[in-house]
Amino acid sequence: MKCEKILEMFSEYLDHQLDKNDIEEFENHMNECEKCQSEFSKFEKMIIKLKSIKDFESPTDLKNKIMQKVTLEENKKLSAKIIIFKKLSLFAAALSVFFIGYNYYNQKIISKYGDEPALTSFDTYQSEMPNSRSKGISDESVINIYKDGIEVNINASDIENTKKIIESFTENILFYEESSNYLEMVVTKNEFLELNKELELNNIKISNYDANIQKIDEIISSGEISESDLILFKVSISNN
Amino acid sequence: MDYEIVEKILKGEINAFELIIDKYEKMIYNLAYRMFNNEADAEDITQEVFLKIYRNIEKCEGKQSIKTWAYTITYNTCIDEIRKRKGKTNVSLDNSIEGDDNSYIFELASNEPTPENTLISKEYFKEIEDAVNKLSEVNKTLIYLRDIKGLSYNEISEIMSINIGTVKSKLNRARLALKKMFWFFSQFGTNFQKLRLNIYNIK
Repeated sequence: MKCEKILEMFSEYLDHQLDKNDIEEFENHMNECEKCQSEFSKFEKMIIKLKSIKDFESPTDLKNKIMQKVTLEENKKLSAKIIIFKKLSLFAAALSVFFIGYNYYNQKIISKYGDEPALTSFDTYQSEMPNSRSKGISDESVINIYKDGIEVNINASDIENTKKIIESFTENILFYEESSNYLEMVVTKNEFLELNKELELNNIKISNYDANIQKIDEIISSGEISESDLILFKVSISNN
Repeated sequence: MDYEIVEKILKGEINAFELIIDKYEKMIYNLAYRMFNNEADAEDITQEVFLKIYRNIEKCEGKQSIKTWAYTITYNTCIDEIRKRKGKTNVSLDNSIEGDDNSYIFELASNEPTPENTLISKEYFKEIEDAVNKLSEVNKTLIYLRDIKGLSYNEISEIMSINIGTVKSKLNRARLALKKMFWFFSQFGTNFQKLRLNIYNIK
């Protein structure tokens, strides 16, 4: 075997990567060739020398610098969120004014509280948003809101208390009327899971919870929205 | 275990990220240092890598260790930065180009003819570490990960996105090149910008 071929096997021999036949071939050649023996010995010594190279210490303030950047990044995310919600709340306020006015002329709908006022407000909301599902609400950030929303029914013995829990849990309520048992809010999937936990602690049940989560997961896995996007929840609270 | 820390970060405990930094800062900093041969760049790259880790932390959910992943991000970040500086996206960073007679052309790092460099005479050049620094980025990474950090062929294959066969052949050539360069520099000094050496010539 040529010496060049043996040189190509140096690393694999040293790192125990050769198969039995190659090892035999390699060792047979080594026994016969002094040049390769001497080269391999130098090669081996060099590798041993390399192992003695020590890592450098990183600068002492590096960790702080990294944490500062991470915190800054987190704050930016938060402020982008706040800007969105501020703009959304303004929009929601305008929407409720419109809705109250609308109801004033539609006594039947108001008296027949239930799905219809919800759909009315939702349809208006959608028509205000071109491209329906996705809209750049501010220059700072773009959020996606699942177009059709998720309808959630909450069974609670104490409606007022339930509303308070939801209210305290999220600021992201798009539509809310004091006298109504219906509200609309936008939250991420994780926030929705947290809300459910909170409600459960108070013995309040989201009646179709599992089916809703499944639906949300399907929407997310279809790629329509991502885990961090907001989902529109149309919530109605009823006595059980 | 890393996944326990990652879980905390995902729950919003930003401070838990400090544990990730404690564990991987030195590792990331050192690979970056090897690639750039200076502290300032190593520091910048380390910060950039940790931000990338933080932004993509959900990808580590359930992982026992994020070591290989962190190395991959570091390697790619270094390579991207070096390519950006060289002004091309497809420039070869594996600068041992095979000649027609099995010789390799080495474009040496830090080839500015500064007074400091002229001081690196054959008497001065005795450290294997200096020879490593002269290798191409790809060769340097191979030597660093395998011989200095003791990573397996599999891990290197994952980090550098090359198959095992290529790791084997490239690593061997990198080692032979290092051996040849070390010998050459100790004989003739380091004031060369470009060398053509036959790494298989053992006469």
